[in-house]
Amino acid sequence: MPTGENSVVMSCENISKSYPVRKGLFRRVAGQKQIVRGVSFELERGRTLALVGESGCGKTVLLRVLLGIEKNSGGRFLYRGRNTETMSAAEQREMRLKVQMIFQDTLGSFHPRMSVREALEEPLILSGVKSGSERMATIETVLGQVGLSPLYLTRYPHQLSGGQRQRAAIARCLAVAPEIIFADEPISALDVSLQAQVVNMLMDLQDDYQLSILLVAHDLAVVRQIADTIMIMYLGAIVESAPAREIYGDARHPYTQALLQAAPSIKKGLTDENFTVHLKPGDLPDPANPPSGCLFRTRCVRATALCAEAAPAPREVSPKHVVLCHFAQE
Amino acid sequence: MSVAPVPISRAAAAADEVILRTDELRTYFKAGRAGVVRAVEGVNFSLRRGKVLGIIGESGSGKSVTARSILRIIEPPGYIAGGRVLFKGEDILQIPEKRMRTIRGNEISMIFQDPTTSLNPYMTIGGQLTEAYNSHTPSGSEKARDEAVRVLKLVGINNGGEIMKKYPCQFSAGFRQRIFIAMSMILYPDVLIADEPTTSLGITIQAEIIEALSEVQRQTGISIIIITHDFGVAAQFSDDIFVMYAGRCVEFSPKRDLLTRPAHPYTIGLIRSVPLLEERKTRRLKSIPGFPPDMSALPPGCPFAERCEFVGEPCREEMPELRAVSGAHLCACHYPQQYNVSEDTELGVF
Repeated sequence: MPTGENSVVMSCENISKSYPVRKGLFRRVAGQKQIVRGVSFELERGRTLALVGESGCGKTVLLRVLLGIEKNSGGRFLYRGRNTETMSAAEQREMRLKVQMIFQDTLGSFHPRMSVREALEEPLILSGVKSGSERMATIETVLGQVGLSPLYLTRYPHQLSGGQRQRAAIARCLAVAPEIIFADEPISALDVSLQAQVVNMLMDLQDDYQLSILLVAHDLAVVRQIADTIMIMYLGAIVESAPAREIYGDARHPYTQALLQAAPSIKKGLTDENFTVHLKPGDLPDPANPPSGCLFRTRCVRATALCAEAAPAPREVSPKHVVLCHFAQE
Repeated sequence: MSVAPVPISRAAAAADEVILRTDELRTYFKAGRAGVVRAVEGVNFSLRRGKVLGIIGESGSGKSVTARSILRIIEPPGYIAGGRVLFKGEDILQIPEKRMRTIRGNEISMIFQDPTTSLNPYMTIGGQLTEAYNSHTPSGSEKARDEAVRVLKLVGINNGGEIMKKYPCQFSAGFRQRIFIAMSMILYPDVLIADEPTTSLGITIQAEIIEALSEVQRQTGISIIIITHDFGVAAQFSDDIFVMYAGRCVEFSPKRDLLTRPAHPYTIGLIRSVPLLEERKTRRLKSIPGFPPDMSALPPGCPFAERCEFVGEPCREEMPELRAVSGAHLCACHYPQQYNVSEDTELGVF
C-alpha cells in the first residue's frame, strides 16, 4: 500500500457549513445554524474512511458539501492536491466523473422510466464515450463486476429487488472508472442476508481497482468490517478520529464509548450484557444554540466545570488518533 | 443426524408456563386473479410468561403479518387462512370481534415501528394516554391522569404532569416512542408486541428504548414479543428466539442454544454473515448466496432450498416440519446441522 503525500486522493481542511436562521416579518438573519464544524480529513488511495454519527449530526450535509450540491461556508476541499474552488471547468468535469456516489435509497436514485441499460449508459454518454458498442462492452464488464446478469438490462428499477438495485447502482458508479466513491449508508436498506454480499463486493472492488471509499454509516459493526479509518461525528464536529482498530480497542471520547456500548451484538447477548447507554438523558442540542465550551457536555457523563468553560482542542493521543475531549489522556 | 419428531405441544410443555402460542397459523393475501401470497404459512411458536421472545426475519418473511394476525388486525386483501392463536389457553381467532376488542390494548398491546405516526398529532400526550385508559376502564379523568403519570414514570419519564400538556411534535422520535410504550402499558397488558420498535432510530436511542422496555418488563413481569431484523438486538434482549424465512418457521429455541448451536442452515448462514461488533478472523463475510424467494411464486418444499448448501432431495419436495433437535430447541430442516459458533474458525469471537 503506497503511503506518503501522493497517496492522498482527496482532503478536506476545516470544512464548515452553516445556514442562516431567519426571524420576524422581514426575515432578518437572526443567527447562524452551524451544521458542519471544521471537519478535516484525508482520504487515501485504496482506503476506506468511515464517517459515523447518529441522525441529525450533519453527516449528510457534509456529503452534500463535498459533492458540490451545497456551497461550504468555510474551509477548503482539495482533489488530488488542487483546490476545487479554483479549478477550471474542465478539471471540475473530470473530478465529477472520478468522484461517484452510492445512495441509501436505491429506488430513488434511479430514474423510474429508464431501464437499467439506459441508466448505466447515461454516465458513459456524459463522459464522452461515442461508440455504442464500446459503451455496451463497458456495461457488460461492470455488470460482471457486481454479479448482475445481463438479463436485467431491459428491466426497470422497480422490477429489481433492493439488493439487485444496489448492485446496479454500484455498477453505474463503476462504469466511469471512478477513483473515489462516496457511499451514504449503502447497505442499511438491504436485507440482512444480502448485506454481506454487498459488503464483500465493495471490498473486492476496492482491492481490484484501488478505489477510495468515504463511507457514511451508523452501524459500527458494518464499519468495523470495511473501514481503515473512522471518524465519529457529533453535532457537526469530528469528536474522535482514529485507525479502525483503535476505535474498537481504545476509544477515548465518551461519545464513542457510548456508541460502542449501545451497539447491539450477538456476543453481548451471549454474555448476558444488557442494553446500556452511557449518556445523560436528553436530545441532541439545537445547532443554532449549541452549548458553551464542549459541544458534547450536555450529554457527557464525565463533564466537569471545565467542559462548560472551554472548548477542548483536538489532541493526538497516539499517531493519527485525534480526540476532541479535555480528558482524552485518561 | 436423525432426530425423532416430537410434537410441539410436548416440547413446549417442558418449558415454563406458556401465555401465548400459535399453532399452524396461516395468513394469506389475495393477489390478482385467483392468486394467493402465503405470507405466513404454518407458524408455530410459544411465548413464555414473563419472558421476551425475539422474532427475527428479513423484510417480507412474515414477521409483522404474524404479529398482526395475533391481534386480528389484518386488513383485506389479507385474511387469516387457518391455525390457532392460543392466548391463555383460548383460541382468540374464534372469539367474536366484540370480545377481541377488549383483548386488544387491554390484554395484548402493540407498538409500531414509526413513532412519528403512531401518535395523534392534534391531541396532547395526556389526552391520548387518558383516552387509552378510559376506553377500556372508564373511571374518570382524575384516575386516568394518575395512571398516565405512573406509566410515564415506568418508561423513565419523571415529569409526566408537564409532558402530558404537550403535543407529540414537541418531542424527538425516541421520546415519542417512549411515550407510545407508556401508552401501550397503561392498562398493564399481559403481552406486549413490539414490531421493529427501534428500526428508524439511532444507536443510542435504540439502546434507550430497549433499556426502557427491559425496565418495564422487570417491573411489571409482562411478556414481550419483539420483532426485529437485527440479530444483535434479539440476542441481547430476548430469552427465546424464533427465526422466520419466507413466511415459515425455520428455528425456534431458547436464546443460548440458538446462538451457540444453530441447527438450521439459514440461521447458521445469518450468524456467519452479519457484520460483528467484535473483530472476526476473516476480512470477508461469509455471505448467503442468492436472494430471498418471490413470495407469490414459492416452489414446493423448503423455501430456503435454493440457497442452501446442504440441500438434498426431500428439500425440494416436502416442507420439513418443526422438530426438536434437543430439548426445547426446534428446527424445521430435513438436514439439521451440528454447528458450533465457538468452533467457527472464520468468526473466532465467540
